[in-house]
This record gives sequence, C-alpha cells and structure tokens, in this order.
Amino acid sequence: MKRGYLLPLLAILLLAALPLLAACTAAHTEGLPEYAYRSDLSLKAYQIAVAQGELLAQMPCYCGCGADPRYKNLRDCFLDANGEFNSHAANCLICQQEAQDASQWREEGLSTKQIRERIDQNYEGRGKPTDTPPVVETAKPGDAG
Amino acid sequence: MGSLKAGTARLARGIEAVLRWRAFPRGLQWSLAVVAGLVVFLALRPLRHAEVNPGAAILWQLWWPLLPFLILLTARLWCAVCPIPALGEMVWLSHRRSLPLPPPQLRRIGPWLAAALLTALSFAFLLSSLEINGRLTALLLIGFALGAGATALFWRGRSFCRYLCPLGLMIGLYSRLAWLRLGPADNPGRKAAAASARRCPLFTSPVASRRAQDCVLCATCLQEKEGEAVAVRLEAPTLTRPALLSAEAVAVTLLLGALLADALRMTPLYLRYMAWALPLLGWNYRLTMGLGMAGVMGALLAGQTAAALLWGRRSSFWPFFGRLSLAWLPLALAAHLALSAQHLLAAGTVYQNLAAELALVSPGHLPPTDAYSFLWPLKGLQWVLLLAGAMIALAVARRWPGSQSKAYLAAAVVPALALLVIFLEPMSVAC
Repeated sequence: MKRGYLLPLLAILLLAALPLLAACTAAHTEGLPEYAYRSDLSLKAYQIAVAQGELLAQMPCYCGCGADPRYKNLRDCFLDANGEFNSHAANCLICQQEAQDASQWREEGLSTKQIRERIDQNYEGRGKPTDTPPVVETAKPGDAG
Repeated sequence: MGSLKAGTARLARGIEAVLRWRAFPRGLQWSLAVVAGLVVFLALRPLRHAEVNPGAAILWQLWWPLLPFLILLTARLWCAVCPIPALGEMVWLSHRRSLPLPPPQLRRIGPWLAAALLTALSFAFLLSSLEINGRLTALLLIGFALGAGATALFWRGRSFCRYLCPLGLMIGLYSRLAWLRLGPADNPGRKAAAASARRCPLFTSPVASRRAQDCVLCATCLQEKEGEAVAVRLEAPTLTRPALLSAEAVAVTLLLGALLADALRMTPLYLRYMAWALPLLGWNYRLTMGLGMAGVMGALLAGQTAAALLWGRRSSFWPFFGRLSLAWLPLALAAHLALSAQHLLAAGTVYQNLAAELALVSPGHLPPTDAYSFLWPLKGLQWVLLLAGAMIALAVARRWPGSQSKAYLAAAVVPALALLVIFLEPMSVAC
C-alpha cells in the first residue's frame, strides 16, 4: 500500500505546481508592473498608457479622481508625473474602459478632439472629472497619439 | 440537552408553519421574479453614473456570495423560491395538459449535462469577467428562464430543476451538509404517503427512501390534503448516504477545482502566473487564464482518477472515485463559504454603485492603491471554515472500508492543504 502515498503526493505537487512555478520564476512583464495583469482590460489599458500616453494625457478621467489635485488627466491614473507606474487604474474599471475606448477610437481614425468629445459624451456623470485642458489642435486622423 | 431538543423542535414547527402557508412558495417566487426582472433591466441599461453594472453587481457580488450560506442554513429552499422556473410554471399552467415524466435518457444524461454546464459556467465566470458584464449576466438569466420554460413544454413538474439546472446540481450537492429537510411524519398513513409522493414536482418523495438532495422544499407535499404524512425535520446531515451518481462525483471535483482556481485568482500569485505565462502563450489573456484554470481542475481530476484506478482495482472505479468526491464535498462548500465571505466585503461597493446609478449619491470614487488586503478577522473565519471542511473530509474518509491506510486519509485532505496555502495570501475584494 506504500505505493498509495505516491498519488496524493503527486496531486499535491501538481496542485502546487502552477502558482509555485509562476511565483518562483522571474516574471517577464515587458516593463509593466505586476498589478497591471489583474484582468484582460487592465493589461490592455496599461499597454495603451505606455504606447499612447500622449493621447491619454489629453483626455480627462471621469472616475472621480478629479477630486485629487495629483490627477490632471487620464494618463496620470496609469503613470505619474515622473513616468513611474501608478496602481490606481489597475483597480478602476472606468480608467481602464476610458483608455480602451480612446485607443479604439484612435484606431477607427478619429482625431484627438473627436475622441475627447466622445469621452466627454460617454463618461460625463460618472464622477468629478480631472481638470484637463481642452484639445485645441485640429488633429488629423492617424496622427501620433 | 433537553432544552436544545425542544428548541430544535420548536424551530422545525415554525419552519413547517411557513412552508404550509398557502402563499409559499409562489408568493415569494413571483416577488423574486419581479426582482430578477429589475436586475435584468439594470444589467441591460447603459451605465450613467456607476463604475460597475449594478445588475451584474447585485447578482454576482450580493446574491452569489450569500447563496452558500443560505444553502448551509436552509438546504435547497432557494430552489423552491427561485424565479427561474417561474416561466416554466407559467407555461405549464397555460396549457394544463397532462405531460409525460422525463424520459429515462434525460434522467441518465441530465446530471452529466448539468455538470458540463456548471463547468462551462465556471469558465465563463472567470474568462469573461461575468461579475462586471451586465449584458452577459442578463443573457445568462434570460437563457436559464427560457431553458426552464422550454423544458416545461415537454415534461411535467420541475424537470429542469431536477435534471438540468447546473446551479440546482451544485445546491443539491451542498445541501447534503444542511440540517433542514422534509421527512415522514411520526406515523404517516400509507395512503397519504403515497398521495404526497405522487404530487412532487421533482418526482421524489419525502416519505419514501429517497435522496434528500433532490427535494427543493417547495412544500407541495405538505400543503396537500395528505400533507400530514410529511413533516419538517432538523437533523444531522447524512453526507455519505446515498452514494453520489458518477456525474455528481465528477461535478464535485470540477467544482472544487474551479473554487481553487477562483481563490488563486484573488491572490497576487495569480498576477505572477499571468506575468510569467502570458509571454509564453502569445499574450492571449483568456487562453492563459483558461489554461491555468484547466490546469488546476485537470490536476485535481487526474489525481482523483489515478487514486480511484489504483485503489479501485479490486472492486470498481466509480465507487472509489465517488468516495473521494464525497470527502471533498465539505471542502468545496468550505472553500465556497470562505470565498463568499471575501466577496461579501465588496457589498458596500454594490450599494454605492446602485445608489450612484439611481442618482441617490454623488458618483465617482478613488480606488484603493493596493487591491490585496490581509484582514485578520476575515482570515480567521476563512481558516476556521477550511479546517472544519478538512475535518469533515477526514471523518468521511475514516468511514471508508480499509481507511486504516494513511494514503486514503491523505487523499481526502490534499485539496484542503492547497486551499489553506492559498488563503494564507492576501486577497482582493475589488473587481
């Protein structure tokens, strides 16, 4: 019956394998902090913040962070003024959704001003917005974010 | 001891009075159907002020975590007042013709279908973030109601609840650990007993030898003329009798696997797994998450299969597989309760979301800087629940023939060790 010990032991090892393997392996995070990996939407939003930070910097955030003077635009929810990652957006669905919408509308060819208008239209009323200056440039579709 | 017995008897009589009340369960069921309609309405309505869809939040962050506590206290009473079969009953009342009993094929395949649906629901819950997805939540509720309605077109009674509902399967399994049940009165007349059995919409009988987990306490038998043959009983659970069906045994394992995966998802270990595995799997988030979940569930299922193959050689495979599932059932309920306690911490957010959406409070929030917390009182409760689950699992395993083998006992508590390790980690409450 001693062989009987092997299977439960194997099951323990298998059960523990996934989290332990992940925990013990040096994470390849493409420079993103671990908290960015909480959900599909969170990961995409942080990737967008890195790739299209300039676009997000021109969008207000409507999650309610406008009440905090440290937050001036949507980009601040992902990256602070020093370019360090901020965990705020990892725990906020509004920030994540806003970043995803802005990026998707950019892909659809909308100008920065048009994206800003849509963001205002869709998210107004969710919370106190950040005090983000209006977009003044007449950006063309496809300009750099 | 005597006063405890008297108190229990008084409580049983009180519950029986409620169940014999003519408006039960329909009054509650239709009230809840209105609530379910409101939830669907809120779930489909575009968000105006809230962060999370309030319809989805009510369902997944309030009702879902409360459900296992309710089962522990009241067995399958939720199924009696569940609004989902209300549509089926409406269908049945509208045509009022005599429908046949479900065919043997459905009775045989039904539990397997329910187990498969339960697994699919677990995957859908985690992979599509069902708890925040209003449209999917509404579709799921409508789909369940249509399923129950369609079943009522073909077969009598609550065939959907008995054979096809995945949540009914889960609730039925958990209810093996509940104290509330219907049973024969002290001296049931033979005629009355037979009459009460004939009317059961789930084709079971509280006065015959049958599985308590199939009874939803709808009180149809109690409220009939011959209802004196039936009584409410508050008795110690008979977890080990009768044996589980094969589909139920597999469902317990998959359920426990899904709960393990969900518990892992709520810890920072999940972030490390995703950060490690995503680049290996082409940055496909759902695939990576789904494989991780399938890995946990598969490891549990493989371990159990191997153990049943090894120990079941002399007799047969399924009895051994089923015994291990029976031992793991209290662990699954303990894990579900522990996770639900964690989810209930977010209940305040649900009320805030709902109030913001209804413009009762000003919208907006500042999310926590760290989503993971280690709250000692909550951790204490979770460990107590898990340890209680492990002890019941051990007690069940000790009843097996040949349980002198330590390997038997070890196999029964293996998932408890994994759960205790996972619940040592800080856990998240926010979505």
